[in-house]
Amino acid sequence: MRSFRKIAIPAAVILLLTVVNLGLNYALIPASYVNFMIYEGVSQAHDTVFLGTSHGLNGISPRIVEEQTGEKAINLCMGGEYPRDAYYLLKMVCEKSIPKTVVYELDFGYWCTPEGQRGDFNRAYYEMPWSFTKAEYFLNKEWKLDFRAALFPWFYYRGQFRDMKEIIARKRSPEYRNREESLFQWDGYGYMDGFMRNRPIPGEKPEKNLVLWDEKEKNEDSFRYFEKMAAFCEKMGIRLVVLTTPVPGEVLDKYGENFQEADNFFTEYLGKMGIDYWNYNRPGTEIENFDDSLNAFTDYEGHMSAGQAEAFSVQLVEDFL
Amino acid sequence: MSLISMEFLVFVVLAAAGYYLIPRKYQWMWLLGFSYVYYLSGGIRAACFLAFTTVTSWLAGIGVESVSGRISDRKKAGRKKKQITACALILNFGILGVLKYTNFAIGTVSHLTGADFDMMQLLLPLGISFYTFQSMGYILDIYWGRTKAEHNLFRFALFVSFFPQILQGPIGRFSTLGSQLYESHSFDRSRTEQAVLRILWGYFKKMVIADNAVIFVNAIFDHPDIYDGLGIIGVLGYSIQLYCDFSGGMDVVIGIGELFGIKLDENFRRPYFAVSITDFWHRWHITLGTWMKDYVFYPVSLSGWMKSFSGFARKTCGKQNGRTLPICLANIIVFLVVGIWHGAAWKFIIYGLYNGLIIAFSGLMAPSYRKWKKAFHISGDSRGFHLFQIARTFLLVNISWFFDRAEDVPTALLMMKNTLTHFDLHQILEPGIEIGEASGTTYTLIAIGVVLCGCLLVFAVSLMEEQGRKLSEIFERQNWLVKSAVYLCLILALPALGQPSGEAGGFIYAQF
Repeated sequence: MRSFRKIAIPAAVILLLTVVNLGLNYALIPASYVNFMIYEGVSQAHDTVFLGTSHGLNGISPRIVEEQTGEKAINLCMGGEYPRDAYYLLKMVCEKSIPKTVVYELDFGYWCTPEGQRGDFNRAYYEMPWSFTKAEYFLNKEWKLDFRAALFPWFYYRGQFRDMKEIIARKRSPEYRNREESLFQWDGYGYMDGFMRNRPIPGEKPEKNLVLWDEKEKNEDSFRYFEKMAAFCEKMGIRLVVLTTPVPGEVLDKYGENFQEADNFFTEYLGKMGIDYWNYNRPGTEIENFDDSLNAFTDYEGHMSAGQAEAFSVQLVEDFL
Repeated sequence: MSLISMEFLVFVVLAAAGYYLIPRKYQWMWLLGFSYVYYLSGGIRAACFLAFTTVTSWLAGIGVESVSGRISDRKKAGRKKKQITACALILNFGILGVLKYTNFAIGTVSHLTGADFDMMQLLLPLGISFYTFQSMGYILDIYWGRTKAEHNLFRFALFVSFFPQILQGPIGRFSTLGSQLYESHSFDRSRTEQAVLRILWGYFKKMVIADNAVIFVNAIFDHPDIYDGLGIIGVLGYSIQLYCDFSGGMDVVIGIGELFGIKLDENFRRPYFAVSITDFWHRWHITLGTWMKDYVFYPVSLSGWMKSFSGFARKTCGKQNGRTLPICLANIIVFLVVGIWHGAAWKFIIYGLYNGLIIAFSGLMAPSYRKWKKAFHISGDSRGFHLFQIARTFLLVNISWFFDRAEDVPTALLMMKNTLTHFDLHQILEPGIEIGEASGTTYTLIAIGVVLCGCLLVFAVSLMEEQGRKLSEIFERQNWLVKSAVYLCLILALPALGQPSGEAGGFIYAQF
C-alpha cells in the first residue's frame, strides 16, 4: 500500500499539472493563421514553396504565383523564421510531397542576430503535426531554449489572460475549425490568399526594428541550416532560389552602403553554392507597378503594405518561376 | 548548456537516474562522464583549458606532496615545494589573467595613450574563474599541509569539473567536496524531495523575481539620462535582481548536488540582514570570501613585508593603530582582488576598493565606536540598534551596487548624484520601460507587483531562517497534499509570472 502511494502521489501531481497545462495552452494560445499554413503545408502537394521571414509573408502572394504559373504554391514565410525553422518547415512539407521549387526569402538581419524565442515560428513548431521532423526540430531548437518554451507553450502568451474568453470562443468557432481565412481579416486586410495583406500605416514609419547587415556578428547557425537546406534540396532534386524583397527607396538612400555590402557578401556566398540570388534592392532593379516609396511600406524594415505584394509576386514569377 | 534549457533539465534527470541505477563503485565515474559531456557542450576549445588546469593542478599537487617524502633536507624541500606551487599558480592564474584581462589592459593603454589598439578575440572558457580558484585552492592546501593530494587523475578531474557547480560556483574545497564526490550514495526519497524543492525555489527566485526586476534595472541603468529620477528604484531593483539571480542560481546548483547526495557549500546566508560590511561579506558569496580569507588575507597578513609594516605602524601610529593598520591594509588588498575578480573594468576595481576601505575604516574606528556607544548609552543588543545596523549596511551595500551595475564610474557617480537631487517616481510609468509582448503601463504595474510579492515571500522565508527555523524541515513535516500544492505553485509560477530568459539574459555569475 505504501509503495503504491509512493508512485500514485507523484503520478497524480504530474497528471494534474498536465491537465492544467493543456487547459492553459488552449485558453491562452490565440487562434492563428499559422495553423492554416501548416495544415495546408502537410495536407496538400505544392510545386512552389516560399520560405523566409515576415517580409516574405507580407510581400509574396501565392495565389498570384498560382495564377501566373498554373502551379500550386504555398507561402510559409513567418515573422521570426530563421533558416533553421525554414529547413524544418521544408522537411515537413516534403513529408507530403516534393515541391519543384523552393524560394527562400533572405532578410540579412536574420543572418547576423541570435535567434529569438518568440514570434510566429514558435507557433509553427506548436502547430506542426507529430512526426520525425517535429522531433528533430525539437531536438535542434526547442531543446536548447528556455525549458518553459517547450514544457509550457502558453508561457509566451500569458500576457493575454484578459482575452481568454475571446481566444476560446475563436478556437471553438466553425470558421477556425473549417480553416476559413476570413477569421483573420478585417476590412479587406489581414491573412488572405495565403499571405498577409498589411493595412497601410499613415504618417511616420517606425525605424527601430531595422537590422542592418553586420558580417562580424554572423549567426553561424543560420549559415549552417541554410547549407543543410541547400543540400536537402539538391538531394531531393528541388530547385532552390533565394530572393531579397525590396525595401523602401528612402532606406536604400540612407543605408545604401550597408545594403551593397550585404549584397556583395551574399552574392558571393550563394554564387559559390551555385544558387540563384535575386536581390530586388540592387541599383537599377525595376518592378512593374511597384511603389518603392516609404508610403507604400509599413516601416523602414520593408514590410509591404496591401497592394504591393501582388505587383511584386507578378515580377518574381516573370523573373525566375 | 544553459541552466534553464530543456536540454539541461533532461541532462540532470538522466544523470541522476543513471547515478542510482549503476553499481555504486562506478558512481563517481558516471558523474565525471556527465561533467565532461556538460562542459564539452560548450565547445572543445574551452574543455581543453579545463583539462589543462586539471592536469597541471593534479601534477603540482602530487609534486608538492612527494617532495616532502623524497627530500630529507627541510629547507630544500620547502624551496622545491614553493617552486612547484608558484609554477602552478603562475601558469593557471596567468591563463585566467591573459584571457580575462588582456582586453582591459589594451583598452586602458589605448585610453591613456590616445592610440587605437585593436582588441583581441580571446576565448573565455565558461566558469574559468571558478574552476581556477578551486584548483589553486587545492594546490595551496597541499602546500600548507591541510589536505592530501589526490593520486587518481580522473577522480581529481571530477573535483575540478563537477558539472552543477562549474559555471557559477560555489567554490569548493577538496577536503569537504572530494570525499563526497568519490563515496557512493544510495537513493533517498526525502533528500530528493528537498532537492527538487530547492531547485524550484532557485528557479522561482531567478525567473520570477530577478528576471522581472531586471527589466526596470536595465531600463534605468542603460538610460540614466532618460530615467534620471529613478536612480533609487534602479539600485533597489538591482539589489533584488542580483541577490535573486545569484542566490537562485546557487539554490539550483546546490539542489542538483543534493540529487546526487552531494552537499555543496552554501554561498549565501541572508546577506541583507547583515549588520556591517564585514558581516555582509560573511553572508554574500561566502565561498569566494572564505577563499580570499584563506588564500589572500592570511598569506598577506602573515607575510614578511606586512610584519615590517606592522612594526613601522606601531612605532609611528601607536600600539592600537599599529595592530589594526596591517589588517586594514590586508583587507584593502583582498577587496582589490575581489573587485578585479568581478570583472575587467575600473568600476569593479572601485567597487572592490570601496568595500575594502569601508571595512578598513570600520576596523580603525572600532575603538571610537565603542566609546560613542558608551557615551550615548546605546545598547549593542537592542532591537532598534540592530535594525539601524541592518539599514546602514543595506545603504552602504546599495551604494556599491551603483559601481557594480552602472556602465562606468562617471555614470555611477552621476546616478548617485541624481538619486540625492532628483526623484521622480512617475517616470516608472513612462513608455520605454516596456515589458515583453504586452508593453505599456498596465503590464509594468503587474511586473512591479510580481517583484514586490516575490520579495515579500523571499523576505518571509529569510526571516524564518534568520530566526533559526529551517524551511526544509518545516516542509518535510507537511503532508503530501501541502507538499504537492507547493510544488505545483512553484512550477506554474515559473511560466505564469516569470520573464523569458532570452530577454532577461542568463545567470549573471555564469559569465565569470
